Amino acid sequence: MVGKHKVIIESKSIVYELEIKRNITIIKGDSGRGKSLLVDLIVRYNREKRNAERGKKNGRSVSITCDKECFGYRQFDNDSRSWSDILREHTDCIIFLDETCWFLNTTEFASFVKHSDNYYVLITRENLKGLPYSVSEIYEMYSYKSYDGIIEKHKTGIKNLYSDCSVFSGYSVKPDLIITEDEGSGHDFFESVCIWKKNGVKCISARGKDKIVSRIVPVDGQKTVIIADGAAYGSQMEDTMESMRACGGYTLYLPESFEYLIIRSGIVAEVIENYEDIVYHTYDYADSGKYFSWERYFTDLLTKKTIDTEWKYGKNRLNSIYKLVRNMRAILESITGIDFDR
Amino acid sequence: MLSVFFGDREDVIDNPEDYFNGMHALGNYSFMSDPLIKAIISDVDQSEVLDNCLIKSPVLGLIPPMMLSGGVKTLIDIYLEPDEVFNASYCGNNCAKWILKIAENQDITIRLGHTMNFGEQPFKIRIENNGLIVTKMYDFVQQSHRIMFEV
Repeated sequence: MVGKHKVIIESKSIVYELEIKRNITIIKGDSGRGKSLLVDLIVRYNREKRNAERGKKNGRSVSITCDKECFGYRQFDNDSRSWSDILREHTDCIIFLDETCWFLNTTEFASFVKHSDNYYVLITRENLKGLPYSVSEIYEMYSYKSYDGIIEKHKTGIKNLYSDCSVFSGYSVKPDLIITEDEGSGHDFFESVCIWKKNGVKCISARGKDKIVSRIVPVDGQKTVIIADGAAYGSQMEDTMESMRACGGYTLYLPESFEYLIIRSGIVAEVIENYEDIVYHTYDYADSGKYFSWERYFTDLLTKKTIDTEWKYGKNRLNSIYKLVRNMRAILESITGIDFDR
Repeated sequence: MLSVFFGDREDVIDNPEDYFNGMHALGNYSFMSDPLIKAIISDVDQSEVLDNCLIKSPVLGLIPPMMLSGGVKTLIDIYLEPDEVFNASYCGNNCAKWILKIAENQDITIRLGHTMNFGEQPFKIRIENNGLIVTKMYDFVQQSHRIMFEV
């Protein structure tokens, strides 16, 4: 599935409005905000729809407006079939699952999502370390009262959980230390920038996103920038933010991925002509049936488009063309919030 | 005292909401008059207990206890049955202070599959996975992350 899809779920007393644009969306947050009710209403909608199709005149208490089929599943349903058999019946669909689904944190479910063309909305607080979900697609619910004539209705939407943190604020920091997620091309690039700028900034690798949190330790007066792939860093976000808050001196920079930065800079425009549309409307290109995350989409795009060119890109080792000063400068221009000069 | 177990093990009641619904299916809600339970419902669900079987919710109107949030049901489970180990990842961060409050008067163990935020005030939590006792959020996060992601 590609595209972004508006979903409106409405009952007599409550309306949910959501916009879903990636294969994995996470909704978490405080208790008592109506998360489980959302899935309940979708389950009810589908039950009422089935009953109507069978000729039962039980009425319809829930409506759903969406250009895609929506399916909700809670483990309370005493279905004798396995969760995978139930979910496999749905393709090109937006599937809503909540914390009653015990399997959300299993490798089997991660594999299922990877090979599925559906979009998944997962209402859970569990650490889903097997799923590469984006920090931009972690939401919490908010609601407000409105009136439909004399009938009071609660309208409920979702808002980004991490939209107001330093990650996106854009203020500029001069780091003393840079920690990159991986050891490959991204790390190679930022290390090369520090050598070019002669800024004395040390650039180290955490050797995997799972190991970044333990690198966040109290250090007096040192400014550290952590650079990771935002498109797949969702599972680490809560622990990272809390550790950063406790220690101070840390800033998180989360572009979609390093490949995204290269494409967005325009330096490979000769091989990816519509790059601007791709980076601003990625949801129209990154097919959930092919790509587990946008990070993998950008890597695949850059690798395939540059394969027989001077821009040949490899994730493990950075082609020296990307380390030419003019190219490093172009990539840095698209980075806000980090000042590499001394 | 509060003990936390991260991950999965056999004795955990994984779906405390379903457990609540099953345990109280026959409608015996006498516990709803307990002042602590009333306070939890008021704070977490912003709802008022009118009677043992009747709650006034700002969103849903008049509801039975069965329609309380998963977080509140889990807190009630923990409070009423301290010898059981419930999956407290059904609880949002707005439930954390209530878990600490329940643990003031009884020893309880909860299971977590995420890092619950217990706030900035000092606390005392025993991590069951490694026996360590932590007293501030930073240490709790670091232990939680190590156990869930790095081990």
